[in-house]
Amino acid sequence: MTPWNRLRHRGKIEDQLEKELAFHLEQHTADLTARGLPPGEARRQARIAMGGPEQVKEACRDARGTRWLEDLWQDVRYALRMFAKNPGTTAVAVLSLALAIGPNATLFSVVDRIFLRPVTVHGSSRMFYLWIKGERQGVWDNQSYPDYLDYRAGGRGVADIIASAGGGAPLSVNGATELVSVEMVSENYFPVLGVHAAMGRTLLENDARFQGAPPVMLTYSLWQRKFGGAADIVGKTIMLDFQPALVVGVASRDLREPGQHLAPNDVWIPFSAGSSWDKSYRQAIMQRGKWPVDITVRLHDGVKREQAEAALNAIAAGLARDYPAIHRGRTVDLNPIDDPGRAVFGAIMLCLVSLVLLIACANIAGIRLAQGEARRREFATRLALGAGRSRLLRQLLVETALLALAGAGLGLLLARAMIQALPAALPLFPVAMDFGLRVDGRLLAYSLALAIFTTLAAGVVPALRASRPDLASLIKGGAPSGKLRSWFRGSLIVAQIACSQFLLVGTGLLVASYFQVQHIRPGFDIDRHVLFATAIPNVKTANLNVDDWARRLRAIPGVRRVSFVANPPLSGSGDAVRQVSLPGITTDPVGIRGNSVGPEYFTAMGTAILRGRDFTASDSDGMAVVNEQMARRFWGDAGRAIGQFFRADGKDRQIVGVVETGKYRWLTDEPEPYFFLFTRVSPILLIESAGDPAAIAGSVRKTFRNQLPDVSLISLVTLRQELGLAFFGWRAGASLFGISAILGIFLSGVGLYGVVSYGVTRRAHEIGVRMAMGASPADVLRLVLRQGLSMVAIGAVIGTAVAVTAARIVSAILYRVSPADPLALIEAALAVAVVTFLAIQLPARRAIRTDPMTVLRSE
Amino acid sequence: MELRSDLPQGTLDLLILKIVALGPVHGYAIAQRLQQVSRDVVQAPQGSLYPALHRLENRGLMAADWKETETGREAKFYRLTRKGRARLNSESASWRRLTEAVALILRLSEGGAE
Repeated sequence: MTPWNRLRHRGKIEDQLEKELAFHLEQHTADLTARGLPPGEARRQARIAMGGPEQVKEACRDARGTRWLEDLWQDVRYALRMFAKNPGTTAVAVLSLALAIGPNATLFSVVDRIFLRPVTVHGSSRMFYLWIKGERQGVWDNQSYPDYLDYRAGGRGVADIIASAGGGAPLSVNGATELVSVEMVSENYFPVLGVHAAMGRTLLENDARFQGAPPVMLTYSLWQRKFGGAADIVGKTIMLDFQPALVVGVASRDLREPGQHLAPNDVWIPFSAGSSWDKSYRQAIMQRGKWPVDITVRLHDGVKREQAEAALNAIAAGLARDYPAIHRGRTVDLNPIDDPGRAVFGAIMLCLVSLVLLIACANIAGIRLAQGEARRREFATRLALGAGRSRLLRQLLVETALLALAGAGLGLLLARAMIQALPAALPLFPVAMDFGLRVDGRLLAYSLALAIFTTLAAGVVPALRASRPDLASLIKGGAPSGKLRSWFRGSLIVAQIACSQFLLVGTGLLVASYFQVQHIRPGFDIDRHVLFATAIPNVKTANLNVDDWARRLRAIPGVRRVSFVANPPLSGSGDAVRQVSLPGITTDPVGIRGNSVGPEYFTAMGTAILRGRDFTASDSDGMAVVNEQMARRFWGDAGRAIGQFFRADGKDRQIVGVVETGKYRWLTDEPEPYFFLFTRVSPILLIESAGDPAAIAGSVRKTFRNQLPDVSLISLVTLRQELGLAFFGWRAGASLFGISAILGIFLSGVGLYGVVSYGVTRRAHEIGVRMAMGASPADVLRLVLRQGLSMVAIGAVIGTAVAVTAARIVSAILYRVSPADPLALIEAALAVAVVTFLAIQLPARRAIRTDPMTVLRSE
Repeated sequence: MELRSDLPQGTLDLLILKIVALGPVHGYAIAQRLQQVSRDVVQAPQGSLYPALHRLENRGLMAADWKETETGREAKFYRLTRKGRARLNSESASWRRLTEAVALILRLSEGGAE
């Protein structure tokens, strides 16, 4: 019989035990009677021989081996009855936990996807990223596809070597075109990773030599998102970059490639197909030192990392000899793909939000402690009747565990809602991203772990206390010796307030940083009425007629200017360093970042032109604008740079203007030299409007739809939306701390209310006596508040000290805010004071209104 | 002098298995046979008999069926399972070895005292 069946048939088993023992007694009695004893005496002797029937039954139950399960079932039923008797307290406990566990589980699903989930490929412990160290210390250089081919051929003996390169391409499904991320992969990519497809197959070696439409593999997410999970997708042709591509398979849902940072790619395509797209692309990929690719190696069995590094460095030395202009001084460095640092970062984030759970646990512990005291007569009676202490302990822990499980269950429901709402809170990414967030087995396991943690953290101490009632004081009928208990309760308040204060100070610092970041001038006006429109022609043509697009857009009422930009500012793209020659100034080329923009770009963006002029429609490719930093570095000052030449992207450029130095990659970048080349062909158009840019978005869409049927508008965003990504890190940090802090201080308030309120109830008698003896309401108030307020004060001081110390350690995440920013500290203290007042005032009023007569009469 | 002595730990199980090996039998009969066979020397309190029966049943060494006795009453009859028979054999063998060894030691020490 399985334990479960035993539990189900418990009643029947008990009946049979009863029957078996009764049969024994009757037989024995009958035998003794047969030997001549009178019936009464016979029954008596039989009973004596048997022993106490209840003890025998207990021993038999123990012998069954499912005792624990039966007891557990009993405990659960008992606990449920108890919860039903105190619905209010139970609801407070469960809701506290749900509020703490819900956001925690939500964050876990994000952190797990980005930081914790291991790479799901074969032999990942032997896999390394191949990084190239340049001549300058701490700078990683790019490697190109031809370099990859050399490493792969030369490193065959020590490792399998694969390469990939990210990019984007428009995907058209049912007339709608969207930019998706496309990863070009070497033909051995999937065979080496050893992953399987969810449908169809992965890209294989001979896919590189395809005929006709290039073969592609889709991610699970794209298949669901754009093709509705169609079962017949394999073998179908899709329109990628306005050309047919053949779907050979769909990747498994949980695939995590090496080098994947946020979300998985949408499409994989062989390098050979990627280079067939258009001529400039092919030239870029096949050119040494141009298009960057990621190289990953998996060492053969038994090959040591140093050994492989030595072999690969020999190849690097050969490259440096053959192509000194690009490869001089470069060495190979292998870095494990399973980077423990990522997991640590994720764990720290989880620990921060887990402070809220700790605060909730303190609430539960306080509630359980009070319940234990209320039931101490019951426990004393049970102990006196012979119940083991372990039995009581177990029952108390089962009660806490049920509360924790209910809280975790409700928290998971909350998490599911939050996960669904999360994408709306994310900034616009240049390409559609699906993080694949969902409630899965890992999230369930994590929530269960939180519930177990809660049970232990909030249940053990109160259970130990409650199962050891102070018998002496019980008999006397007085209150239990409260010294130890109130010490424990006080420390719970201290811990809660300390955690809340920590989170509040952290929030204050991050919010202050966020405001500071808003004031950074990135080299243009962030409030400009500007839209960025990304458009791609539906058919491949040699020349983009973007002048025609611009002319039509200029005709829209409310449009002021139309220009072009290759990489919108602070978009996280186009930050590659370009080799610039400055004849007569430096002998070697210098690496400088740059961008390409169209006429009147600086006027449209509100960038200050320090010297010279903005680009105009009559300019040519040979014109350039540099920032002040670059002008100063190479020509001494802004004025002298005008009219000078430099050489970039293989062409001489003449400087026509000098503009203010801005931010180009991150808002917090140090000032660096930067240049702008003139362009009049870029798929990204910049539209400046007279009024609210969102108001003309509809007209822009209509113009493309009606007047430019051969062009797909794949994205249209305002400057504000575009900058969302740049501000996102700050916003996310401040929100994460802010939400935790609000939940934390709220839960602390609930806990404080509970403790003070309980104290007033317990000391009602004492308060009544004092008032009868002439104590004023102020005296009573002092009595009630003294302890609570000192606990709050201690907690606030500890929390502040820890927060300031922690902020000092991680001051890098603050921007122009001191770790001991007085405003942040005052805000946090105010929040604690307000919540404390709200939590304490109700029970305090009750204490003052105590009627001595009522209390004393109830004696 | 008290002739009855308490059963050594674990021997009750062995004795029960031995009795049940002779054929299906109910709890009361086992108690009686225990007493008869041991000629009242070992004291097996009936209070510990039933927990032992349930323990052996739970471990799969014995199985039980409800059947009618000769007097027409329903009783729980225990019988040995295959696993129980194997256990009985191994346990009795080791018991025999143990008692022989103990007897040997006792003889030796008596010899030493002479």
